[in-house]
Amino acid sequence: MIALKSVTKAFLGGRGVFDLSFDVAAGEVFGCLGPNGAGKSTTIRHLMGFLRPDAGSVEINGHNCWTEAPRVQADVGYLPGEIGFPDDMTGTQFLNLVAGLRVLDPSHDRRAALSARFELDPASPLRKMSKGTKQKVGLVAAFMHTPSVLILDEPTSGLDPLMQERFLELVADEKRRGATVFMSSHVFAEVERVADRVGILKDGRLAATLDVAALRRLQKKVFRVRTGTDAEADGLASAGFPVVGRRGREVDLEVQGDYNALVRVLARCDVRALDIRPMTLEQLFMHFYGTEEATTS
Amino acid sequence: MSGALYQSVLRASAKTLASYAVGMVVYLWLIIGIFPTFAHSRALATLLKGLPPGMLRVLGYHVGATHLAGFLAGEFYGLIYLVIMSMYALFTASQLMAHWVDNGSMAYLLASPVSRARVAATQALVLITGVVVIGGATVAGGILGVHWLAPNVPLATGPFIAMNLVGTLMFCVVGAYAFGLSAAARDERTALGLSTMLTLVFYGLDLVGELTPSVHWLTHVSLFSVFNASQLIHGQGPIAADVVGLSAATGLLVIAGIAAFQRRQLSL
Repeated sequence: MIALKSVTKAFLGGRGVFDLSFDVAAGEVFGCLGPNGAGKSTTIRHLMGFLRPDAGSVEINGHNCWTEAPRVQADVGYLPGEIGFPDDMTGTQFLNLVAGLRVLDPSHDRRAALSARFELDPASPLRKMSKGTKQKVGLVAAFMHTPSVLILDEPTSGLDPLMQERFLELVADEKRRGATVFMSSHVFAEVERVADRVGILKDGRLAATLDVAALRRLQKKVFRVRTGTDAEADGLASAGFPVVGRRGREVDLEVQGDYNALVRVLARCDVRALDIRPMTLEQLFMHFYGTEEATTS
Repeated sequence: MSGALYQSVLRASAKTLASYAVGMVVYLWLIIGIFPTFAHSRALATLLKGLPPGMLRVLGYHVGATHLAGFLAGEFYGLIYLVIMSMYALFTASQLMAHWVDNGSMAYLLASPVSRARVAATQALVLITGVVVIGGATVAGGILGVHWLAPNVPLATGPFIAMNLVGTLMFCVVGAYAFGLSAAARDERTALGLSTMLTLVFYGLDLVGELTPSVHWLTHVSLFSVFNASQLIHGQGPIAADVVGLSAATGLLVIAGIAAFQRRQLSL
């Protein structure tokens, strides 16, 4: 499991993480959310033993991530946020290098299965690969040794929607296998699918830790409905749901939890178009804290 | 040390290494090939007679240009050899550590169960291997080149090998301080800039010290004073002490580089 206790790392300019504490239980998928500069990558660099905290401690499976980094890495699969590969290597050579560094037991080598899953041919030179293909190579390197802990920094960056879906399926499979997963993202909808809990970072501090199942129940979604007549649009607007936007026959309704009520209202209308907008991270903040200041208090 | 990393990095840099080694040998063969023409040149002999002793030492011609050993010391080991070896050692050292950190690929090495010390030691070994391969190719190329291109010209093989040994070890030291800077500097450009500047300072101190008798002591603070090609190729100089000293300096500088890398905070 993962444990951060009162971790502080201050950089010049006021950036860093401050008094950061949270645990991720064995077998749990934890999503770390936050806007750019919130401290997600700094948190991950501490978990990987790349940075030493000014104060506090960071442990994975009971081992200190700075002083016992090689021991920790034996259990961990890591996908960096910024994909940078060695020059003058093909994807195959790179994956062979990673397997060699880990002295990978062939019975635990999942390179072929993962490459097939992501439709990856790693034989071409890394420098000629697209960002998405490089991301797939990074994912294979992170998952190939069947790690018990996965640390993934913006894992779907560069992947097309189909591959994003396959990645989320892979994380769900890893969760069933019992792996502990820590993944960062700035897109709530991405982690919502697979995470048990999410931690929201803001300005280097943990603003909240939320249970995703509870979040789903509480979450407000905006339904954009275009009706066939003005009267139907008026009826929708006065149906009891908060109206957050109106453009003629197009009405934006905010719905929380009880979608059946909305379906019943819509059943009486000639619905010409229907769109559901997922809650953005900013809306999530506003939803739970009302004001920006409240999130950092 | 990680065998997988060593093999992988060496294989990836094999083309570059081969280019340096081939370039070095081809240049050496060119010098050996033109020697018979120069050896009988009266104009060159007259020119060398007119130069001051300090300049002749710098150029490697203080024993004249009528012997292949002196000619090689002057025309090849006096500058070309130094430039090619310096370029390889400095560029490779900055590539093996600072470049991997700069482009983020170091993250993959450190995300494995191989410790930072082992990663850095392996990269240092790749660097030393490259310097030794180029040094070895130069020795083999020189001996074969004389055999093929100037078969009637005598060249004492023992001192020739000893000179190359000292040269190779000196560039192991150059590579080692460049490695240390590469392991500790904040980025690749800074690492390469500092190690190049230090090398140029060493070379400049040796040059000025040799040319100017009043500041001859400057040669004693320059690493390059160890490689006096025109003496070494004639079997002169404290070769055994140089070998021991240069080997120890390489080891200490590499250890210092590894220690610096272990303590570094890395934004990978």
